[in-house]
Amino acid sequence: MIRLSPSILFSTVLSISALSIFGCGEEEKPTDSGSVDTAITEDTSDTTDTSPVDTADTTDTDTADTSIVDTADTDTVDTADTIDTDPVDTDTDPIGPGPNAVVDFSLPDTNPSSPTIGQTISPRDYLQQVSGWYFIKAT
Amino acid sequence: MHAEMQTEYPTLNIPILAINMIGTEPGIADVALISTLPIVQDDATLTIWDNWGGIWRDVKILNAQNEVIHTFNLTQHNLAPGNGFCTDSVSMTQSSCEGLGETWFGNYEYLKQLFVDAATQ
Repeated sequence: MIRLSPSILFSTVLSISALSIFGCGEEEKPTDSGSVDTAITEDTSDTTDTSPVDTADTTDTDTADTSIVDTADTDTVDTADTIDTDPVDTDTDPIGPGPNAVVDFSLPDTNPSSPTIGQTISPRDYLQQVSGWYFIKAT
Repeated sequence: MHAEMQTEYPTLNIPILAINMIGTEPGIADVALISTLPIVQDDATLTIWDNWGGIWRDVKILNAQNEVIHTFNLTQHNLAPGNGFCTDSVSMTQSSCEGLGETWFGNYEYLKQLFVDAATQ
């Protein structure tokens, strides 16, 4: 049986305690990394979770925006343009009498053979078009 | 001529109307036998002939703004076949006109072309 002196015994106990504190600390790093890796994996899961949400949002938003806004905008703008153009054309079409326009009158058609007998005739009825006027002596 | 233009150029829709001289109203019944053109009767109040500067057998072509752009008198330019005028203003027949290297215009075709050109400008 070996007998250890009290000083040797104390040193031995002290060494074991130091190894427990530092030496084991080195061995715990992989364990910690494992925990961190696990945490990262969980973060990845979070990213994955975010992606579906983003995709869903993007898909929903795009589809909704494109379908509704584009179609509505195009229709509205085109219709508005067309309507805007027409009034301009309408404004252009009704040309009034020119500065040298003939003196106006309003008289009935007196020719019994005319399809417009009795209807009022005025040169202003023929603005916007060329017309011919024949000066006759009905004898 | 009016009916002819309506057939040949239906989209142009060129109306031709007549303005009867003051004092000749009774003759409208006779005109109705040979023409279906709409006729308005001038009177002492309106004096259309004077206001428009028209004389007997004038054909006045108005543009889309009611302005006179052509006056073609049918006494000076008879529309019967063979009648026309030459670019030399002297030759009286198509053969003599064209024999001198000038251009002959038949009155009927010329007036018709005035209408068409005015309506297609």
